[in-house]
Amino acid sequence: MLNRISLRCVASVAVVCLFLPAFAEGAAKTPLLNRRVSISTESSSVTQYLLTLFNKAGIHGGVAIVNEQCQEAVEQFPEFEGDLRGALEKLASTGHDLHWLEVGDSLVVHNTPSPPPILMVLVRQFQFSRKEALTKSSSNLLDAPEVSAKVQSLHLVERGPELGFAQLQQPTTPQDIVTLTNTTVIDALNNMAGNHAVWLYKESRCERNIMSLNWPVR
Amino acid sequence: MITGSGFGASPTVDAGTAIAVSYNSRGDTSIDANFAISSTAAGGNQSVVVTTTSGTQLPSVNFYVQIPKKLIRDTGYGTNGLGSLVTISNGNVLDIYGNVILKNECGVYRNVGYFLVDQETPAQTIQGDHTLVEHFTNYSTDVPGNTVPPDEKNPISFNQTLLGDIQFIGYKAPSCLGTNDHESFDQHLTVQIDSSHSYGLSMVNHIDRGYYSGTATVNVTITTP
Repeated sequence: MLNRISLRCVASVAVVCLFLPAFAEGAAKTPLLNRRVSISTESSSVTQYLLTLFNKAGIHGGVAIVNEQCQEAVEQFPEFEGDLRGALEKLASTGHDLHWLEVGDSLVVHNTPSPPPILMVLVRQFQFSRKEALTKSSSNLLDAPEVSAKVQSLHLVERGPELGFAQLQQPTTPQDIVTLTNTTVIDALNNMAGNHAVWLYKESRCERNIMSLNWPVR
Repeated sequence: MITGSGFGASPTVDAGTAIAVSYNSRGDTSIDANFAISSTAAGGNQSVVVTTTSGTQLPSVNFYVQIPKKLIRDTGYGTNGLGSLVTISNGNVLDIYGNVILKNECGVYRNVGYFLVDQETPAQTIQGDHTLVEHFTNYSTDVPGNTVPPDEKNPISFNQTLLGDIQFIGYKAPSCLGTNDHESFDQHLTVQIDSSHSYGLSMVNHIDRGYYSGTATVNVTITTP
């Protein structure tokens, strides 16, 4: 005979266990730009659309958008079915000055002929913990003397990131500490992103030159 | 773990539609089983029935499937879930757990404490690994060049019962917000399980943050509970 027991479970917990490993495994075997994406019609900024592409393709890395306008235009993006390369080429063919580069397992997309100067700054040494919040790590990276000097020379104002919901801090062990030497900001960010996160660098050249670095996918 | 007696050596368990059962161990007095709940499973009570080795169906017990429905404020945190308004000119931004997230910032922030709850009446809290996705609409600002934040995907782990949203606006010191630098927007939330399964939450916040005629402000108002 069964005891009178109370059983309770949240659907989400079990489904994570069932679906995510299969999804990640399948995506990991396909070269970045060959990943399949299927996107329905979307009305958004090009920034948001690129992040959707990263999300749909299950890739990590970053997006760098320099905006000469005070507003970010909202556009209607048509339905797309194909690989990521096709999606980016289609965007580029419709008036978006987009460039992309694969850095190891990461993809970086930017809308300037070369990545923004801040991202190309060479940092002599930088250390972060894989257990700390990404916003904290990237903020520390921007505090590096080499980056701060570049921010000043370009007369940029650094806007704080969107912080979102807090994560429980886990104790850092020596294995969690990553030390990078002679690394560019872009490589350091990709290193922080690991195999799951996406960073977003934005620079607006309006009345003030404002830059920000966010982690829309943490 | 299901305990009882007279199960026999190989009892079976039926947990209802869209719930797959696998066994870690089975015996005459206990069954250690995993329930894998599909995202298509109906919320609410599902009957769990044990069939003994000899084929007898035992009386059912209920297994409650929770569906994420909304965030509610944690009344035990701050004032009805709202932390203090913090103004910093060259200081730290702390999250709801007291961790320093940013240093040397100039701006304003406030932490807001929430629980994720299910569809039951009264609502019960939900714990589980998931992604909490923020989506922002109705954005407006007095700061030229500022634009609506992109969607934010926040990983939430099983052991996080208290969820803390950090509403911050500011610049790296010595740059500071101007006396009328502010922005406002609506915040919508979704619990995401995987790339194709998610649950939109009912709660919508309207957020005003920054300086309004010199007054530091971070207002988080629930417009839809």
